[in-house]
Amino acid sequence: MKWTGNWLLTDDEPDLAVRGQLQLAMYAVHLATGNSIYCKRIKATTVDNYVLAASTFLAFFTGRDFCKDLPTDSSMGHLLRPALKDLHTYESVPNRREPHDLNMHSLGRTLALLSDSKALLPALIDGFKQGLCAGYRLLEWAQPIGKFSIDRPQLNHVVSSPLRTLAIVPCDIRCVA
Amino acid sequence: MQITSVTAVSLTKVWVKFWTQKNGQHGEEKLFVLNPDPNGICMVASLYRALTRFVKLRLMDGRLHEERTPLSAYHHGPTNTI
Repeated sequence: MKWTGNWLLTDDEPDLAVRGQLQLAMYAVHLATGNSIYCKRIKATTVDNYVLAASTFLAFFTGRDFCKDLPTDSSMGHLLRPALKDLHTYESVPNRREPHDLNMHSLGRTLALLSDSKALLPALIDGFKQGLCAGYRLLEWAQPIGKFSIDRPQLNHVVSSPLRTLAIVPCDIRCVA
Repeated sequence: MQITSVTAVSLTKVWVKFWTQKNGQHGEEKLFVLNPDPNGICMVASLYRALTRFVKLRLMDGRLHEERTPLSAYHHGPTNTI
């Protein structure tokens, strides 16, 4: 599914309401990652308004508001609400960093193909990719057990370390061919 | 580990165990399946690459341990360390 998929939702989807709401959530993320008019980052409130406008416009054709779980609900749907809430949360962070978006990931993947497969960049890109799919947190990346400062992470890269790492290790993975 | 004896496309699914989770379900195993889109983001292909990287790194340094060394280990060229 892509946010540019059939917006009129005329496919044979089993649950068009869920798909419609997911597409609106993807549209919100798409807007928030600089894909707006003039390619400029826009405020989360503006993203809200864009999504509402899209939903209202679609309702003329589909007969329902995909922003909501039920037509009688007064609040946003359970799929769309967390996405919009995250955009507001991100905007409220002082000195925030640029989020890792799909375009950056695609560029990183291209660069990783040019380097040694054992080097840092391919390892990072694979980690980011797994994080996108599984929602890794910092401690699942390469951290030892215990408390740590996010500014000074104690990377558990000492190969003979007796520390029990909280990171994903090879024996946590079971492959089925 | 026998990951090098199979190809990425022959892997159909991968189970990953999450030992520590924010929701308290420690030790939960999650299933990931192959993304048929070769240009799409695929957890299975990414884990395959990470595992094969780990195997190659262990050939360079036999101290890498399947239970203690993070999967995200990499080779640092300038210092020739892992």
